Amino acid sequence: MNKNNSPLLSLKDVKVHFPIQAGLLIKKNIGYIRAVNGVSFDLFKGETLGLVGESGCGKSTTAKAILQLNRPTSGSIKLEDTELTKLRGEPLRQIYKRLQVIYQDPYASLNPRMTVGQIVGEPIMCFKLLDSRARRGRVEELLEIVGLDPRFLNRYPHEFSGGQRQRIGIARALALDPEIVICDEPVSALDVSIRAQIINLLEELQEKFGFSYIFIAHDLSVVKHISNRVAVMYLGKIVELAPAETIYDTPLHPYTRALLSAIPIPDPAVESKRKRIILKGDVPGPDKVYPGCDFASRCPKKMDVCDRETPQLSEVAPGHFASCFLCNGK
Amino acid sequence: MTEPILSIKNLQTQFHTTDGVVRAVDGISFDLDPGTTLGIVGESGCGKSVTHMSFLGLIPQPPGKIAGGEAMFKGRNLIGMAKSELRKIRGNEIAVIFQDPMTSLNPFLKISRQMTEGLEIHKGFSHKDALAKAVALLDSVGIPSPDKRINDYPHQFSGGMRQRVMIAMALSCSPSILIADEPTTALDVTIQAQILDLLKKLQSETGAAIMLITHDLGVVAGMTEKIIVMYAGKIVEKADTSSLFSRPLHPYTFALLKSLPRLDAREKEKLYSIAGLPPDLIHNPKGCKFNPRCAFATGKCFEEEPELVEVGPGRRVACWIDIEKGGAR
Ligand SMILES: Nc1ncnc2c1ncn2[C@@H]1O[C@H](COP(=O)(O)OP(=O)(O)OP(=O)(O)O)[C@@H](O)[C@H]1O
Ligand SMILES: Nc1ncnc2c1ncn2[C@@H]1O[C@H](COP(=O)(O)OP(=O)(O)OP(=O)(O)O)[C@@H](O)[C@H]1O
Ligand SMILES: [Mg+2]
Ligand SMILES: [Mg+2]
Repeated sequence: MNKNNSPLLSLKDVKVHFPIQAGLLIKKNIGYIRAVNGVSFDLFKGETLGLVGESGCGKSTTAKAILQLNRPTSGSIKLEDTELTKLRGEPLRQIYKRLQVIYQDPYASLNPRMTVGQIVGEPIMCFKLLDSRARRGRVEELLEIVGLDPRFLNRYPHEFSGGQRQRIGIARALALDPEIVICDEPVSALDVSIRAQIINLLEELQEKFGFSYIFIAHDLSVVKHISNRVAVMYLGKIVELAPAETIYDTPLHPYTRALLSAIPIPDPAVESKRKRIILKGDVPGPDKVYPGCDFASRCPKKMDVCDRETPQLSEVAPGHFASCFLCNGK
Repeated sequence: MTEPILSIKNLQTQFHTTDGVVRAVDGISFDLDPGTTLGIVGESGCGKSVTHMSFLGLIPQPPGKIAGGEAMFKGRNLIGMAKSELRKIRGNEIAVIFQDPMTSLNPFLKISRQMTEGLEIHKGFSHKDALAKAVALLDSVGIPSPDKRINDYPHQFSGGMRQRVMIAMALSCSPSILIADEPTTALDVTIQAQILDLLKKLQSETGAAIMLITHDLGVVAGMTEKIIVMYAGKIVEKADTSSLFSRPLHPYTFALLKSLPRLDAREKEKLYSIAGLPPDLIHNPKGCKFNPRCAFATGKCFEEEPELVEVGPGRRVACWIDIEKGGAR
């Protein structure tokens, strides 16, 4: 990972707002769901950036915004010098040679009527990159890379286990030699005993091919394991971003602290000594707008200013960003 | 020695499907001690839910069949007990909370109605007393303004709040056993921490025994005194919590613990990965059911299925191999 270079991918103040509509015949906008509400980060070549946060905080929407599957309401997303948010048609299609995605659900994300060979070879066919013989060879090679028997080529997804299907999804994502692979909860739907296989595979592939990952999960133990840097999201915003060890050793944002303390560690000796920060209440809905900090309603360290002003994500130590009045003065 | 409050002996539950017989629970035995928490862990499909559903009479028959075994609760066998008798025990002396509260809450009834019904039927409360008790229970599980919220419908609550309502309902008849089947799997971690904290607090107040079912080894580490590890319908290891984690004896437990990324890991190591696929309960391999995935398996493991045997004080394991010595047990 080389941070002196310019970033491969760069997000600046990205917002994705979904209108909430009411009315039966004449639809009226009655408000907005602020699914992603001002997200900025850089992704460098060869690194893994983890994105964690609880259900509904906007992780998948951020991923879809990068992939231009949800067009951002505002903000900029640059892949090197190319502004993705402005692309349309053929130039947009071309970015999928560089940008690929692996989804959470290995059951839903594979077309049940296509064979494994067709699924994995589809991206190659779309871009008419290889003739059919060469394509078959490439598909066999890809299956081998992800640890599947190339003879499975003519089988259908339902004939495979969850872990195997996830491997098929990974093979497809690799078909075009992408530079960035977005993994949206790639192991959450898998059996515990299978997760390590897939995590190891993703790591090995990165070593071999040098691509960058955006790794999304709500399981901070997994994210910490695989990531170089970790971004913590809450209600559509990044509240803290730092190297993985730093997030764990010296978390600054009260939400990150609560999140870390809530994650059970599979060791009773450690568990008996841990102190949990139990947050009060639930995550407020993303449709409401409050003045002040979004976390104020649950924050154990809330101050007066937190109800009035909105903290900004700022660099509080080299490479360590947080958005909280406790750590950026005021 | 205290008498166990629940004692399961050689429980066997099968499902007769078109593909063959699924041995979902294949001869398991365990005791639950009063006032303690027993963890049942194992991956999806290993028989955790079928275990308690069998002795609570919740298995659809057919395709299900309780092929044998007993479940002694306060001197009475729950297996084969008349449905009407069992209904008096279920929800009253033994309460269950499931992973998805929406499957157990009726979406069309107000919370008040759902909470008071049990109290009126099982405990003979008047409606007014039942309502007062229900409000107090909602308060005890941390629902704000319970006297108002009790008139809401389930969909008006968040996931974590619905799970609290379920817990309040489960506790309404002061059960002596609370079965919590993946009570936090569908919830976010900060909400999970709230719910687990609540369960512990309520246990210390009521003295109920808890059977905590989960696939999350982190959750059982901090919550239980004893743990049962299940694999393919069998108990493969049983131990008190601290010994199980410090010295796992079954290759499956050992591998599972090593395969988990830990939040407090200092150095980044490659995860230990378990080979092969989760078990198929219809086509069991010959010998030990874990043998296709076991890193230690040799000769006998492919021939004969090991029994769960005592190998030390409070320790039982079903394995031919002593993984610490690296040879036959
Ligand atoms: N197409 C859409 N229309 C309206 N609202 C949406 C849409 N997609 C997402 N949302 C809302 O945006 C918010 C963020 O959703 P998102 O799927 O990004 O969350 P997430 O962090 O990926 O959560 P999870 O961990 O559950 O996958 C949620 O409140 C969700 O309901
Ligand atoms: N009605 C049914 N018909 C056929 N098979 C069934 C039925 N109910 C359960 N089974 C089978 O019994 C086995 C055990 O199921 P059980 O629900 O106890 O698993 P579990 O350990 O609770 O898993 P999970 O962690 O996914 O809840 C599974 O293989 C399942 O497919
Ligand atoms: Mg998501
Ligand atoms: Mg279950």
